Formats: sequence, C-alpha cells, structure tokens
Amino acid sequence: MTSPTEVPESPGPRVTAILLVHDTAQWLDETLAGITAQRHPVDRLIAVDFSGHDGAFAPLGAELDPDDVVPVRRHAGTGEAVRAALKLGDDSDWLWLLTDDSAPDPDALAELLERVERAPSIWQVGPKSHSWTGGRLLEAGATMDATGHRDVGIDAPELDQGQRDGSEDVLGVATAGSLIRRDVWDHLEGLDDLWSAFGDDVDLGWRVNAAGGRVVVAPRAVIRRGASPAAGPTAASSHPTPLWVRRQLGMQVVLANTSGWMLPVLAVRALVGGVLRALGLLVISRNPSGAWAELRAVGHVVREPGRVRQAAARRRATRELGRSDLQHLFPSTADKWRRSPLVAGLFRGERAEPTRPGGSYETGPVSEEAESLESGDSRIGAFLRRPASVLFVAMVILALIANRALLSGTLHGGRLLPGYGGSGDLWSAYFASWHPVSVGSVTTAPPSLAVLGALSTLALGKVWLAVDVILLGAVPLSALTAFLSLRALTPRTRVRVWASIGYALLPAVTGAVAGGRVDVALTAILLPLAMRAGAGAIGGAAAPRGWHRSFGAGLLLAVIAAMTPVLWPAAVVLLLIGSGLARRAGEGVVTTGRRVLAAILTLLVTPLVLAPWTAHVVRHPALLVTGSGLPERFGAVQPPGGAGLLLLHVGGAGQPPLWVGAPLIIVAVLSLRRIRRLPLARAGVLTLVVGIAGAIAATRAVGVTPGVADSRHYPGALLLLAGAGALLAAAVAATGAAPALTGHSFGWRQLSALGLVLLTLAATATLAGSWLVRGAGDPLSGSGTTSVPLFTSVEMSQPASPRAIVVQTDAHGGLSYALVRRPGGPQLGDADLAPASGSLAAARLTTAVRDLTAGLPGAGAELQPFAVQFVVVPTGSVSRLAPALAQTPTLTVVPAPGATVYRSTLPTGELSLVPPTAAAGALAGHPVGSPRELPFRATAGSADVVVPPGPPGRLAVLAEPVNVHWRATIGATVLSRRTAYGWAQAFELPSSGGRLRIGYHDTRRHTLLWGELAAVVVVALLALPTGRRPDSEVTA
Amino acid sequence: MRPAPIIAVVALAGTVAAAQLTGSTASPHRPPSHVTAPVRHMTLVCPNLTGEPGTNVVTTAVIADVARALVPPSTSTGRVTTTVLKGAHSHPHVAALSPAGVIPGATANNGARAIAASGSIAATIVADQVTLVGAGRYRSLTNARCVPPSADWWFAGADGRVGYDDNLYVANPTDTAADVSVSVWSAKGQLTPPRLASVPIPPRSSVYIPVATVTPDAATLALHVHATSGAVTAALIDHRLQGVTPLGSDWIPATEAPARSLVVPGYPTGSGTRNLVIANPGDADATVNLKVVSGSGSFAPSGANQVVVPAGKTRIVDLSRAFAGSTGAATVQSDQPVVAQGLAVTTAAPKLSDLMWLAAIPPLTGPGAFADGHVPDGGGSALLLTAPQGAAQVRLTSLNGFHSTVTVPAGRSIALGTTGFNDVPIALSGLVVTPVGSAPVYVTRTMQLNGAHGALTTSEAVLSLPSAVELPVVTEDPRTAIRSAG
Repeated sequence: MTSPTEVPESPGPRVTAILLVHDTAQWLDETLAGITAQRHPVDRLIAVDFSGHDGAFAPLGAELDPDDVVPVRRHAGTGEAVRAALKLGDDSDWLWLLTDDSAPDPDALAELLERVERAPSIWQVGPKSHSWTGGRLLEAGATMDATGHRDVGIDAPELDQGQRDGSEDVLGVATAGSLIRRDVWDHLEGLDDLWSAFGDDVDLGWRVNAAGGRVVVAPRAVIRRGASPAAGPTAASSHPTPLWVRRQLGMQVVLANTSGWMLPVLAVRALVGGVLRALGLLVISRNPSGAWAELRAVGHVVREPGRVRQAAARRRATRELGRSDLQHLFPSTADKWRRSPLVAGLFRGERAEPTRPGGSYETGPVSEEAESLESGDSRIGAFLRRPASVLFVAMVILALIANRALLSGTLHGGRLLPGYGGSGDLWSAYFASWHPVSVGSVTTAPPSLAVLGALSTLALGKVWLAVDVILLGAVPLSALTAFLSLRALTPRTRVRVWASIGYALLPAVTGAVAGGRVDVALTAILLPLAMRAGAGAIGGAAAPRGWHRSFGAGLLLAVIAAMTPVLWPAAVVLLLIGSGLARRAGEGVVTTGRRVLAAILTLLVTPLVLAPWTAHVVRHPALLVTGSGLPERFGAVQPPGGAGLLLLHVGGAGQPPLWVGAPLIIVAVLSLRRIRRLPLARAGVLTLVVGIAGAIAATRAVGVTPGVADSRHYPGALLLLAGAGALLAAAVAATGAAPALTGHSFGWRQLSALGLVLLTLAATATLAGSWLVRGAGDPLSGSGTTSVPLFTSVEMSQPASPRAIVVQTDAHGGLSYALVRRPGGPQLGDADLAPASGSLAAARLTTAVRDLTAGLPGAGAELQPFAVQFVVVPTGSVSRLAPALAQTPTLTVVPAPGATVYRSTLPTGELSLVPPTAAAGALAGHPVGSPRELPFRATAGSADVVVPPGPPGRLAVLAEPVNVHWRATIGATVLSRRTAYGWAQAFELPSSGGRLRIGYHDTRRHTLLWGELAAVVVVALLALPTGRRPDSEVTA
Repeated sequence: MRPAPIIAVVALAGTVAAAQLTGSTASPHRPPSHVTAPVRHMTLVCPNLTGEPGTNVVTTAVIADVARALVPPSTSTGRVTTTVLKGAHSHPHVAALSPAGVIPGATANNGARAIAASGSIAATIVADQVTLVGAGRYRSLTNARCVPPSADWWFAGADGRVGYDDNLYVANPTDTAADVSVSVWSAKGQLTPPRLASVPIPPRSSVYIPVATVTPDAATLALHVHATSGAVTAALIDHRLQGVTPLGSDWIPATEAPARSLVVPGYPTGSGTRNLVIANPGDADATVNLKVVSGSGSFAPSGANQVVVPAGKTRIVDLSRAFAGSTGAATVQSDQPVVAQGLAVTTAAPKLSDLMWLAAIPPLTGPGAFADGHVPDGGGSALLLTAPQGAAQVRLTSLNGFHSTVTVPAGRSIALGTTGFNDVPIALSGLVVTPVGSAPVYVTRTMQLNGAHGALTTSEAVLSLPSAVELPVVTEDPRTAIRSAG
C-alpha cells in the first residue's frame, strides 16, 4: 500500500485510453475535453473511427495524432474495434475504454486507478454512469438474471445522492468508462463480438469474475452518458438494437457462461421459460410485441446451438470459478420479480406518471406525484410522499384503530359466517348443483361465491384472509380507489383527499363493515373504479374511444353486480341517462349513438358473464335486493324514514349521527350551479337521486324473510351509490369554487360558502371520530368459535357422517336452531346456499326441533331421519331447555365445556338401511324414524358401500330430500327411487346386496358454467386494448 | 337560481315524501301465534308404596282420571300402566280406571311405582299415595303426590342430626340412565358431601339415600337434586323421633325453585308449632320480608316481619304466634332467590303429635286436582284456600257429580272442612278445583285423624293439571351454531 507521504518508486501505471467513435459527433467535443482534463492524464489516446472511411470525423483529426486514429468497418463489434486499436502497438498496463458519448469527470481516471492500486485483486473497474445533463444516476454496475435480462438495479434514473456508493463487486460494468488490466484483456481475449449488440460488457465481467478476478464499481469515478449504457456502444447510432435481438443475446450470454453440466438444464429452462414468459406478457401485461420478441429470441437461440457451444468451450479454458461461487453477483429472486416485465405490466397503471421520452433521461415535473419524486432520496421515501400513499397509509392506521377489536380470530357476525374453509370449498360450492347445507339444498349458487372464491385463491387459498382484507380494509381501500378515480375529475389534491375520505366513511361503508356485509364492502371498494370506467366507456368528456373500454367497464360492473345485483338496474338508468348527459353542444347524432351503444354494451356484459345466475334472478327478482350472507335481522320492524335515507343513513349497525349527511347533500345540489363541469355535476346528482329512490323502494317491504317479522332489505348498496354520486357532485362544486367566488364582492356568498365548507369538514371529522370511537365491529366480531364442543366435532367425523343440531334461545325470546353437518360448523357461503324456504324436509325438521324443545317424548324419533345424532345446547340456554330435553327418552346427556350435549341412542347417519319390517312405515310418510340397522359409511350426498345380502323389501334411506337427480346403483342395476318419511330419498335394495353407489348427478349446471367461463374469457379478451403500448420495453 | 338545482331538490323531496307516506303503511309487526299440542304422554312416580293392609303399615295409591269432573266435563281415552321400578325386572301392568283405581301397596314390592299414561287421558290423570303407620317409631299419616320426572327438585327442612331419620328417594322411570348431583345447604352453610356429587340412577329403578349417612349432624338442610343427565323424580321423607318416641313424619313435598317471591299455603287450623324454613342457596345474603295470610287477614308477623338469611345458609322462622291457631299461608318477598318450606306440627298433648310439611307452590293457572280425599280410619280432610292478593273464586267439582263455587276474600285464607264450611263433602275421589278468572289462588288439602295415640296429619298441594304443551316458536338460523366469545 502506498502511503501518501512516500514518493512512489516507479511512475504510476500506464493507461491507454481507447475512444470508440460512432457516426454521431453530438457529444464528442465534450468527451474529448473530459479526457484531456483528467487529473491523472492518460498515457496514450487511441480513437477508433466507426465511420467506415478515413477522415470522416473531423474533430478526431484535429485533436489527435492521425496515427492514433484507427478506422474500422461501420458495423464492427466493440471487441474487434479495441483489438484493432491495440494492433497499433501498445505496452500499457491498463486499458480505459471510452465511447464518444461518455464524458469523464476530471477525477474519473484517478479514482479508477486509486481503486485498483489499493486492491490488486480487482481486474476491471467501472465508473458510475450519470445522465448527460448531470445528476441522475443511470448505472453503477450491472448483472444478468438467469433468463438473460440485463439488470442494473435501478428502475428509473434517480438522483445520485450517494445512495448506491457502497463499492460492491458486480458481475460486469458498462464498457464505456471501464478500466481493465491489459494482461487480463489479452488472457480473456477481450470483449466477445458475438454479443457486441447487447451483453458483451456483462459477458466480459462475468469471465473476469469466473477467472478469479474482481469487477467493481468505483463510485467516485463518474462519467456522463449521452445514451443508455444498457443499449451498448452501438446504441448511440440511429437504430437501437431490436428487443428480440437483445433477448436472444442475453439468453445466449447466460448459456455460454454456464458450466457444462448446468447447460442442458438452463437451455431447457430458457426454452420453456421463454414460452411461458411470452404467454404471460401477452395475457397479463397485454404486451404482444414483448411476447413476440420473447418467442423470436427463443427461436433464434434454438436455431443456433453451435454459437453457444463454441462460446462455452472458449470460456471453459479460462474459467476458474463456477456459477455457485459467483452467486452473490446475480440478482435475487425478489429483484427479478420486481423488475420482471410481467410485474411491470401488471402495475403499469399504478406507476407515477411514467414519462420517459426515448433517448433522453430527463423527466420534467408533470404532476404532483412526479413533483414529489424530485426531492426523493429513495424509492420508499418517494412512495411515501405520494398523496395517494399518504392517504392510504393514514387510512390504514385509522382503520387499525377502529378495527382494534377485530384483529384476532376469524371474522363473523352480522350477516357473515366465518370463513374457515379454503378457496376450494367456495369453488366447489359454486360448481355444484347440490349442496350439503341445512337439510340439503339445490339452491343455485350465486356468483358472489365465485368472486369470493377468486379473491380467496389470490389470498393463498385462505377465505378468512380475503374476508379480512375486504372488511377490515374496506375503508382504506375504498378511500384509495376513490382517490385514484377522482384523479380524472379534479387536479386539486385537497378536494380529492376530502372526497375520498368522505366516501370511505359513508354510513353505507361503515355499516357494511359493522354488519359483516362482504358484498357491500367489496362493492364499496370497486364502485369508484366502476364509475370511472363507466364514464370512460361512454366517453365522459370526448367521444367514446374504443369499444374495449365498454367491455372493461362491463366486467367491473359484472363483478359489482355479482356482489350487489341491485346496482345493475341502477346502472341501466344511470348509463343510459348518463350517455345523454354527456352529449356536448354540436355533437353529431352518430357520436351520441356511439355513446348509447357503448352504454348498452357495458350493461350487456353483466347478464352475459353471470349467465346461469341471470336466469335465476329473472325468476326470483327478490334476489336483487336480498344481499348475500345470513338473513337480515333488525331490532325494529318499522322501515327507515325517508329523511334518514336522504341523509344516506342505511339503518342498522355502525351508523354515525344523522346530521352528518346534510352538508354533503346540500353541497351536491349546489354543484348544479357550476357551469364549467355541469355534466359531471348532473351525473353526480342523478346518481344521488337514483340511489335514494332505489333505497326507499327497497326498504318499504317488511318481513321479507319468511318467519322473521323484523326482516327487511338493507339499502346499503343503493345508498353507497347515492353517496358516491353526492361526493362526485360535491367534488365538482369544491373544485374551483374559490375562483368562482372571487368574482363577486365579499358578502353573503362568501360567508355562506365558508360556513358550508366548515360544516362539511366538521361532518367528515364527525364521521371519522364516531367511527374511531365506536370501533368498526359489532355485530361483526373477531372472536368466537363454533358452539359444537370439540369431542362432538370429533364424533361427527365418524364414517356414517352423523349430524348435530345446536338449539338455543335467541334474543327475541324464541328458539333458534342450526343443523350442523360438518365438524367445523357453518362457514362462509352456506347461508347463500340455504335451501329455499317451504320445503317439506325443512318444515319437518323445524317441527322435530319444536317437539324436542316442547318436551314431547317422541322428538328423538322425529330427529332420526335427519341423521341428527347430537343435540348441542349452549350453556346459556341449558336452564331453559334441559327440562324439556330430559323428557326425550332417547337422549343421553354428556356435559361439556360451554355446552351440554345430548347424544341420541338411536342409530342414524347419512345413509341407513331400513329393514323390511319398518319399510312400510317409512314409506307411509310418517315423520317418525324407523328402527334401522347400523348406518353405512357415507359422506354428504354420496356413498360407496357394500350391502350384505338380506331379505327383500329393505330400503336404503338417504338423509337428504328427494330429488330426481339422486342415483343409486348396485353393479349395473339402477335402484328404483322411493320417498321415505314424506321427504327423504330412499332406494329399494335387492335381496342379493352388492356394492351400492349413491350420488347426485346433474350436469346442467356444469354445461352452463362452461358457457359462463367462455363468456368471461371472450369479454376479457375484448376488454384488452388494441393499441401498442409505448412503454412496453422499458425494463427489458 | 338556475332551474337545475330546483329540479334536483324537487326530485329528492319527492322521493322522501314517498318514503314517509309508504313508511307508515308498512305492515305492523304481528307476534307469531303460539301453537300448543295436547298432552299425550304422562309419567307419574309415586315414591314408595311399601306397606299392605293387615300390617302396621298400610299404603295405597289412588289414580284418578278427572276428565269427567272438569268444567265442562270431557271424556278421555288412552291407556294407563303401572310399573314397579326395579330395574331390568320392571314389567308394566295395565291399570283399569273407572274412573279411579286403587293400587294397593305391598311389603314385598317396596319401591317406587311409575304410572304411565298415553292418549288424551295423560292430560287428566292424577295420583297420590297415602300411608298410615298406626304405631311404632314411624307412627304417622303421610301423603305424597305422584309427580312426573324433571331435571330439578328442591327441598328444605331435612335434617341429619340424631333424632331425625330422613330419606331421599330418587327414581328414574325412563329407559335411559340418569345421573343426579345433590347440592346441600345447612344452617351453617353449604355442604359438599362427596357421595352426592354424582349418583347414577339406572333405567326404571329407584334409589334411596339416608340423609344422616351423607350429612351427619347437619341441621336444617336444603337439598337441590339436579339430573345432570336424564330426568328423575325425587321425594324426601322426614321422620322425627325423641328416643323411641315418635314425633311425627311426613313427605317433604318438592318446593319451588329459588325465587324472590314465594307463597307457602296450607298451614292448618289448630294448635302447635308453625315454622317456615328458608334457604338461601345464592352467593349474597338475602333480606326476606314475611307476611302471614290468615283467616282474619294478611299482616307482617311482629318480630319476624324481616329476616336475613346469610348466603348459602338455611334458617327457621317461627310463625306460631302469628298464625295463632288460624289457617293460612306465609308469603315470602326476598331480594335474593330463596327456597321456602313450611312445617306445621299438630300437638295433642299428652298424646303423640304429628307433623305436616308444606311446599311453596304456584297459584292455580287452570283446573287443579287431587286423586283421593278419603282419609283412612274415618278421619277428616279439609281444603285450605288462600288468596293473598285479591278476592278469588273457585269452582269445586268431583267425579261423583258434586259441584260448588267458593269465594275466598282478598288477603284471606279459608278452610273448607268435611264438617265445616257449608257442609261441603270434599272427602271424595277426584276433586277438581277450577279458578274462575280471578286473583291468584293457592289450594292445599289436609288430612287429619285423631288416632288412638294422638294426632295424625298430612297435607298435599293441589297443582294445576298439565295444560296443553306450548310449542315454542322455532326458527332455523345458522348463527345459532356460532358462539361469540365475550
């Protein structure tokens, strides 16, 4: 090590700079000036002239000795050019490679040399590349992932404040500005011309590393680049390397540098991965050109195996270290994913105003988001300073406070059943036409199950996680979507923040969360996006642009309609009138026609993609307003008053004080006095009126659930729509209200406006405050479990699939019961699949439970056909029910923690064999069970058992309601169907016995669902934009 | 103002007005109508039919179908069987009622007898057992109502000290095994006799537990027999002795479960000790206000108008001076749920005395009945009626066609004797007492006999016949299967 005070014995290392000059002379003067101004002067400067003929570049002749200018052919590779320069005869220790667009700072060479002098293990060192106009960091070392993407670890040019100055070993450095030991260059035969168009720099670094040397970046050495370092030296020429060539060369570089036995593996991976990536780029990123390039690159790699083989053979000669030794130089998996074009494609819409005009790396401040980037010191900091991020994070914190009681355990309560199951349960429930719910159900599964199933699949298959995100995240997420959707409406951040907070805290949203209404909560999150998409489809400001917008908006509307179907008819009214409202002065009939057509297209998507459900809703229109989940129960039977609904109060749980809705409605109506954005204000007020009118119509009926007097429909979705409309109009009113008012002299207008603003802000603050104080839950709860004790759950797992009923006194003084068919108890989705009311089986079960709780001794026999083996009475109800249940002689008591369990001594199960002596009684339709032999092994709705031979006239009785789709076979014989106890499916057993198979066979729904899937795929494809995306290759 | 806001305001106001107009016409909430089912099954258990004619101990049980004595008279059909509960060897025998039947007791067949009725007769059948022990340690006249099985039975007044010979009988007439736990409170606090924590009662069998063996030397006991599984009947007999001199015996009838308001009717006329046993099974001290409703009016007994029963303890209140020989009832108002039981000793000095135990009972809510008013050996019986709140009217009807209407003045008790009031011949089989839409009325029947050695007394409460079974309103609700913690 050289101490600063000592004079070095030998003069410093000799450095030959080789300047590669292409066609353009745009940056050459500055580059030459930079070389000349080096604090550590170069010993010799050789220029390579790519112009293809002598003397083309006048400045070279002027600045340099003509002997030191080497002409090469126009398309020569960088390696070839350097070798041509070295032919002049050179005895230097180091080569400094420069291009015409790389102007070194005066200290650059000194800093590079200082780095290598201190560490002789460094064989190649590169500078940091800055943008030409300075300041922004383009590159500081590069690496390459296993699929051949060159990766510099920087997504976009960032302000260089030393954040990447940790001098790290890298896989390679950009050619321009790099300093390499002369003997290393010779040993490794320099840059490989095979990939001179792309990747030769990383390839050289890789070989240096593999040969045992180190490649590092000297952070204090800086050069300014006129073109992208990634594009290679030739990028400065007028035609950049096509994407597919870059992909091909990248893959080949990876393959060539891989040791022998890994080669086939990587080759196959490159092939398969390439095809998959192409598919992903096409489907997920909707980037057809990227996909095509990927395929073409893979094709070329396959066609030229010799190229890779020869290159690999050359590298084997100098390789000392394997890939595993260099593992730290390759990008981590997380980095790979983050910078993958797939991911970039997915989140393209979320990025902050990506403006990157080709060639130049300067970004001008174009929006507030970009503005905050200017002062950013890191990406996290930049992210956190975006208003959307700040709003979201703040709302998440508020939501955590409000959700404080809900953060442990599985959410349930209100209309929500706990989501114990996995996404597979929801999907299979959606596909099945028979459901093991209650006494057995053939209810058509609503599409909300498919939506929840899809979300659960995304949530790693956990239903509870999806429900948690929807319910606990409803407020922050709807604030975020509202904020993003309002971007098109107003540039004023303060108005957007206020409107999105107001939206997220609408009584309909907090009420939906408190009441466990997943349907309304998810709609609250999606509604702003859907309104924005709907406006885009019919062409809010200009004429409609592209039919794909209609299909996209239609898909969004379909998801909303799947959760809250009542919003579809509301959308019909709004979109059709809205396409009229959007009409501009002097607009032609054709344009208006296109608007209406776009609206109709948008609306038609929903009935199409929800096809099996659509027909069901047409037959049962009440389903439009029923909502999903458990039946509604309210404390009061009187429907909510009109004034409450007008003030956007939904009634039920989670409601703020009444007055807070008033300022919003007043501001919304006043928005109609604004001339500038009158169509938008009109659309908002129209939405408000439609929502409130719909809510009033929906809430007039009482007793909508059979047998429940205090049941009525919940107007949440409609008042959500009304609130969104009101906020839209209010945002219009607030935008530019100040300039409008300044037109008048100070007076009552300003005063009342000020008062209204204060009142509105106070209302929003009250909303937030009351929500925080009250908490987000109740009846929604995060704690609790099934009432069925553990040992009973275990016994319910017996092969015969016995069931339990839970009976307890309810809050209304009556008794309620639940038939529990699976050990875990009821779970999310069961309530939506409950059998239609009025079935004989359900009525018989209710009668049996009534007789049981009345103390009628025969109740045990009445429960037997329903496979009820256990009666569970929670401890709180034991004192009321124990005397009655003690009258039933067939029940024995087992005390358990939290409940008393009565176990039936009558044998029962899903499938039982009734002997001939009792068959006549069973077939006569009497509700009491019959003596029977031990039940068979069976699961809900299916069995596969061996029946022993026996006397003729035996019955196999299934504890499920009769249906023509039940099918039982022994061998090839289809057993004839009978009805036992008036409702249960039974089959006549032959005396010979044999292997009995029972199942429910109804293929109609599967056919319809295939049709639905096809419709979804077609509409999704139609929703893809047709235009080419300019930024599709940014991160390639 | 531009027209657009006006249109919007009009539209909003119109929808709200529509809501207000239609909101008031929403269908009002109608409570679901209650459904009842007739009683089709009834099992009654008589606790102990030991004793047969010709011996010192004579026991008979009388079963009566009082359908014909109802107002208006009705008929009943069905089948009645009686079974001696002795486990696997129990066999039902069909009983013939025309309309009453007598089951003689037997020395060999000692044990509980189950009477099972099915059909409409189940709603009108009543039974009781009467035992006359002419001499000896257990000399007494005792009388027990035969009762249907239940999960909970409450008694107060038993004793485990020397001088008492009390037995608890628990019977299980059903086909499934039952298990009972017995909780015991004494004058000194709650006892936890280990043997009583879980007592198995096999199907169709009866067990008896001598109180002194499980709670020796404990005074003034209150017992709660709770069937943790199955349903049982429980009966408690109290024998009192001084050396070998009998002081009297009686069944302690099951009394009402702990409550804040209780009425103990049936104190007979005549001289002797009148006690009220109060037990407080709760965790807080109970302040109990007492009142006596006698033949001359209702009043708070001086010196005993308010007593404190400490938590978990029992206490005896002497009301002898308050009743002063009159018939009547004791009423209990407490700030904590308590159990009460009455004791009336009839002295015939210098001859022997006998005692009767009284229960806290509910007022008659419909026709009440007892099976037999016939007192062995020509004794007399009396009907005691108490109307603590307002004047009450009852109609008396019997199987042999007797009928009469009696009014009880407000806040008074009256006694109808065989030779007393209006010459009502109530010593008849199957008497039905039907309240005629008036204030609450409590009715007991006493039997008194002047034996060769002194007084013999016993009492039986008249309880309402089982009304039609009210079927609860039951709804299916999956929420039921989910338990919210906290």
